[in-house]
Amino acid sequence: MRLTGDEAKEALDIIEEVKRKTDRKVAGEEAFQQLLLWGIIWFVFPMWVFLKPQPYWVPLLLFPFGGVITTIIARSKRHAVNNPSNPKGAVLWWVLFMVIGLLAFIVQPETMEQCYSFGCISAMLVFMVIGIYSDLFFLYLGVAVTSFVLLGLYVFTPLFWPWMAFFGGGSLLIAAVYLKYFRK
Amino acid sequence: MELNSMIHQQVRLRIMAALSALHDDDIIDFSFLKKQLGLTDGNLGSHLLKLENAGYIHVDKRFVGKKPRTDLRLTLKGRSAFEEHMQALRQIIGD
Repeated sequence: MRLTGDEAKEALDIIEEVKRKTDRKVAGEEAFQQLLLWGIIWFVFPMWVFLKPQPYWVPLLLFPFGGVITTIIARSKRHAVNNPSNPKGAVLWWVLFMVIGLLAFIVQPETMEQCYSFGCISAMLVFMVIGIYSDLFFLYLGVAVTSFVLLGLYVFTPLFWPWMAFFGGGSLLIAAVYLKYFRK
Repeated sequence: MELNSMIHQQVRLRIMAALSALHDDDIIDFSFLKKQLGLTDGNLGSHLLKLENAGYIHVDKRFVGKKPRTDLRLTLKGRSAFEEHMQALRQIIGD
């Protein structure tokens, strides 16, 4: 079998393109359910706080609930379009929860808004790190949501909770839909 | 390094490239791959059979509930054959 330089180059280009697209698609499939789950939680929690329905403690359960579901999704993904980074991803989020809890204990944000912003920005830090090392999409998402959090906290303070529901939770939901259905 | 004519065929090259994007123990679903590469069931199936017969991929057919499911992954032999093929391509372009 003989090939010209151009034919060999074309074959290598095809390989690179297919690998890149597969990488992105697999990452998107994995991220879709997680983003959807956390998008809903990030929408419901601030709206609950804003509307103040009783019992007040219910939304706090969303976060450990989300953690458990994240772990279950990560484990089940090993049998779908799977990737060994999934279980590590779940561990990463559990570590994040603990670090956020620990840092919050040390820093002691004074208001509920500061506390929530702290948690959101910490989660987005992980997105940005993942984005730098794997898929730039997560870097942009992290930067966008962090900007929304800061705007909500310092500019639109009276509307902080609905702002966070729509721009925090909403961003994650839009990102999930984009990754699953629109990104090539 | 020699070019591998089994791998170099257009569709099989893309199948191998997609599977090689996964980690060693990873599996990929038939329908995911079909959609990803824009192939029909028959076209993908026939090329997978050739790659399976060559020992380059492992095909695991099973039922999940009542739904049939086909998982695919690259074998070690397939991964090294694909690496060699890429090396041969790089040699041609003098990389």
